[in-house]
Amino acid sequence: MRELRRIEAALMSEFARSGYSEVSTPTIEYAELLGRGGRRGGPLYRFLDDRGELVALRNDMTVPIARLAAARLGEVDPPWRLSYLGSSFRTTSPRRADLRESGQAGIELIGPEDADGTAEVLTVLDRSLAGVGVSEVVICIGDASLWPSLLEESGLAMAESALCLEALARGDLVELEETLTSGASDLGERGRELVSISRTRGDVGVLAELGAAETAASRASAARLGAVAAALEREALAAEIVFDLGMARDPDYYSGEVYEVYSKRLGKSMGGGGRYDGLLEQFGVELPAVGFSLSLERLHAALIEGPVAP
Amino acid sequence: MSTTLAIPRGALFEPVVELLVGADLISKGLVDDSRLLVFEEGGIRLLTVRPSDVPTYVEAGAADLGITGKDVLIEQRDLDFVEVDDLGIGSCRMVLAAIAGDSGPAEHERRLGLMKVASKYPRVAREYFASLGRQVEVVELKGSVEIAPVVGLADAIVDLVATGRTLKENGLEEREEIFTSSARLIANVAFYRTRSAEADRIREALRAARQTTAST
Repeated sequence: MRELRRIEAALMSEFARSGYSEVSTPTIEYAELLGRGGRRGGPLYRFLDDRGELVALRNDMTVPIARLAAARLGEVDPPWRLSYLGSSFRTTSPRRADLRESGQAGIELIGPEDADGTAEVLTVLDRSLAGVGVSEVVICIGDASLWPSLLEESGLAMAESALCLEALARGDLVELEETLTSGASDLGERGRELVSISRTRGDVGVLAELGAAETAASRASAARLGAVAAALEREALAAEIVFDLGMARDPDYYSGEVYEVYSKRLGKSMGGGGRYDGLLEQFGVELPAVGFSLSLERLHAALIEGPVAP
Repeated sequence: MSTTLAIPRGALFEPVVELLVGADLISKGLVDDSRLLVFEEGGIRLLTVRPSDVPTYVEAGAADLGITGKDVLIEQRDLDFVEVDDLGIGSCRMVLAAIAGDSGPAEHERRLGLMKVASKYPRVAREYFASLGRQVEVVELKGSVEIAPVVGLADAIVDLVATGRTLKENGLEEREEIFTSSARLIANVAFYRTRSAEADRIREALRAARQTTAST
């Protein structure tokens, strides 16, 4: 517990130093509320309260914070900078040692919609991880809006587009390639170009390739991610920044930049986040927002994991 | 930093090793059928494991990359990994089979509204019939499913067939095809993103080797 507490303290003090105020939301929320925002999955532990209302253990921190911010900060001029530390509840598989209850710490920046907002959040992420002492950090950035617009522009039928997004979300690049380059939905040369985009990862150089592609969707995405990369350059992060153009983190929920954060010492993501400009609208406030959350257990594991064998 | 690759023991073992040698990723004779489970050479470490265990190693990051059949990936879809490439070897099909000429399964479905199916792939079997709105009871077995209909444990089986010889020798025949499968290259998500050049180098070497084999 001492080690976990030290991680929590390092994170919360970095959040505070960066101007983020801690907020707290209830562990139990109405199930309907947790389902807003269109996030994949939805709450898993649902039960009835004393009045017969369907309630649930929160499976995410961002949606409750969006509710809180919309209800209580209306009078305050944005941007709103909020941080949190709490448990969220999720499903586990018998073959994994994951716990049903996971400690989460993170921030939400509500108001700025430009690349500078995203870069600020990623900078806080970088400093927080350095504060905790996690080394060899890699932040992998993608764009949740890239694939929905690429597919729409390609003229692919709705059903096939849905199949492609589903395949990307699962990480099934083989099915994506089959759908785009063979059978009834064969897009020919355009399909092969899309396949190549789906497999593109690497440093900021890959954005130039994306920007050179023929479609308006890819140029827009290259410009968006390029602005974030440029803003990050000025901050001189400790973490390595890579881009994965095939990353499709929950496109119904995220509206733009998305990211996962890794340490080369751990074969798993330690957390992630992104931009969800449509979420606060669900609670009556039209403000863009961006944030990240980190799993305390994964950070702990990354800290005690020895250096990878040479 | 070396790259760890989990490869399947069993029917896919020989063709996979041949492909790795063809791709110049390992040298001929490194891997044999001995009881050794780990082989290492240059920057590559090979783990030889059960085909159905490959995704588990890859998801956990105990292996950076893995090779196994699509059938295994479908059965274990709840695990997290990137399916990078179709290696085009080890082609086989998942089918519903029953005793040749036996009208029992169809009779049972029609008159009882239900059929008993034995399989090593309970999830595949359940999802296939559920997608068609057909009621089945799935009997999960770990091996030799071909016996189940012969002794009346089940009306039919859902299993993988490559040539169909095993079915024939046990007096069974194919009734419905569920999907086709082949060997796939999968990657740990963190590895795929943070060490992309290594992942791409191995994928391209395997792809090139496959094209050379196909053209000769």
